[in-house]
Amino acid sequence: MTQAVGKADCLMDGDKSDYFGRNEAESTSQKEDKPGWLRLLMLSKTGLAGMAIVGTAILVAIFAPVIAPHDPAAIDLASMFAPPMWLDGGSLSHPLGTDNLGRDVLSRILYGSRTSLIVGVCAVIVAGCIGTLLGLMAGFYGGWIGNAIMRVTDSLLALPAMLIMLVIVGVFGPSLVTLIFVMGCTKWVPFTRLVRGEVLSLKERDYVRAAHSIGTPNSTIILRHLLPNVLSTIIVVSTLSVGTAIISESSLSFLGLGIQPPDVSWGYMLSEGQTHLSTSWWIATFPGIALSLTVIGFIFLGDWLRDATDPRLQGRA
Amino acid sequence: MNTVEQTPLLELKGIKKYFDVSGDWSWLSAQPKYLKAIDGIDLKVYPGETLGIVGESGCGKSTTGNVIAQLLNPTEGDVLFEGESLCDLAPRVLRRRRKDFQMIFQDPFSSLNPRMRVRDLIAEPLRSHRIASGKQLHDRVVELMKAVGLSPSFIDRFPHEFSGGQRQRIGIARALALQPKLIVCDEVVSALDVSIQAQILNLLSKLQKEFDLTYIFISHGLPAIKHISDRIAVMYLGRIVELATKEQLFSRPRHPYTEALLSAVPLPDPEAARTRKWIVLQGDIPSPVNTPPGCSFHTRCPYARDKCKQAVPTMQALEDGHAVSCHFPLEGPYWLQQ
Repeated sequence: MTQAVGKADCLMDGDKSDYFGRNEAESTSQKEDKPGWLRLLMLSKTGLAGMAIVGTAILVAIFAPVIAPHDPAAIDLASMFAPPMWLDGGSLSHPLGTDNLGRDVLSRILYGSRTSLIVGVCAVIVAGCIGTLLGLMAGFYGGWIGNAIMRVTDSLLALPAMLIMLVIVGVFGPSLVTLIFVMGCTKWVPFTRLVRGEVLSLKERDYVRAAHSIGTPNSTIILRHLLPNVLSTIIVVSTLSVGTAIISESSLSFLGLGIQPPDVSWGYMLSEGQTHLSTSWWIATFPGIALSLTVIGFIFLGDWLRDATDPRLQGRA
Repeated sequence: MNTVEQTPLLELKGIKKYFDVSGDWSWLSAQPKYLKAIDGIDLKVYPGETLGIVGESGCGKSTTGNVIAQLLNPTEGDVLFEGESLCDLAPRVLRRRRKDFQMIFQDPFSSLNPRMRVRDLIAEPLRSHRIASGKQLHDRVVELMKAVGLSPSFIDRFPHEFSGGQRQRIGIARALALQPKLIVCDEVVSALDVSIQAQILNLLSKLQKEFDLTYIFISHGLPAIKHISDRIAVMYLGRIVELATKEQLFSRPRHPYTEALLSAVPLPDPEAARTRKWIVLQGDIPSPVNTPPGCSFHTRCPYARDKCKQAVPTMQALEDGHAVSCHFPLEGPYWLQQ
């Protein structure tokens, strides 16, 4: 404690202000020309890398028709199982080879990024919103509301998520919207559990008790005191969930309940390619690399976002 | 300061606060176990005065503060604010009522949300009660910052950019914002350096005159209490053992516990410190789960007699405005008797 006081005092001395900060001129010198988060991004290598990877993925998804050398659905039985161009028998027209129906792997990866990104990001947004809201309520109100919410999450955790997804997709039929909805309905559980845990400890903090004593309404306490302080947890869980959502989509596609041909997704390519893994490894490997890279990019980005949204870390990195 | 005719601003009537500590397997044992944090407190606080509450850690003084600020509900008893019971109010009504009694917290590092700027921290009470908005709100925040000695140029800073004393000033500005009648100061200076303590205490005194405030000042430090209080209540194991004006308490303590407390205050004069007699209490403070029978202080009291082990003393008013909870109040402390 005393150490912290001393540190803060030194900080003030550096600013050449007296103890009560009655130095008016000093505040202007503190003004930065760049916003804090941008400065932090420049300082953080992983943040930059994450931004670059995710940015590339988004650009690729948008401009897929421009970049892709072939139509991703065009079947060319004459050039089935063509290897990537640097292997024997590879050609420049199919840089990453072709699959069992002679479709260009590179083009399919480029187009597949669209579905994978949309499903991954949207599902996590839906799940994050549901999960955070329920977690905040369960943690803050406790009592029977909290118990009810936690029993529902526990029972969802006990059921295999895949089973629930299969049932819902079976009822509503496979489509992009259904996929997002289905994953939103199953992936909120970790959000709720973590947010509730955080809130339980946060609401005993002095500043939350202080807000109570001031007479701040509950809704304001939840939105202004609790939510910003669980944000870092939410961001970390979200970035990890983007990866699992993309993979879940591939599992559903594998079972034939995900993306329907002629649309492509990375998950669909993975499941299709794994039957030929021993002979034509490139069909499943390249979409797998694209998937891993994107997930890593999101994790890096989330790491940086967590630090950037914490005012205590601004400018320190 | 307080005359008999005055009506109290705040009145505690037989407040008890027990915490259930029997644990998960309580149904196996016959008797539930309770931690008696407060075990029957009656107290009146008059407008404009500063009432100090002093005692060892664990004696229930902070719990008392929390009960007064309605952060805890008493197990038994009632809190009357301007004659109106606070414990029975509906949550919505109580929230609006909180305007009149505010609290300043012990730890200036944890009582401010690290993600809020000073502007929002001080504006929070004003927004919560819809008192000001827009330009008016900004002006009021600046005004409050000046009142507590913070430069308005710091308005967009975060709490971690301040020292402990400055943070406590932010806490004071927040408590002042609603122009309350009563402020509960819960160990507001204990986390600060001694030199800063004096600044904060002087600031509190200045603000009291300026805004007509009533303070309940909770502390374990006698020097701070002596500096600011008009009347002082000494607590031991959840009860008030002595209540008197500052002058009387320090010059002529009537309860053996108060006498022991006073004898433990460090003296600035080393010569005097060397020759003075210390009263060293034997043993530890008893557990508030198993309070001793009779007078709760008899286990450590150097003057304890048989009666103390059996009968619980009640608060008795002595001739000089002292109130003391002891079967055999001291005639005067040892240093007067020599």
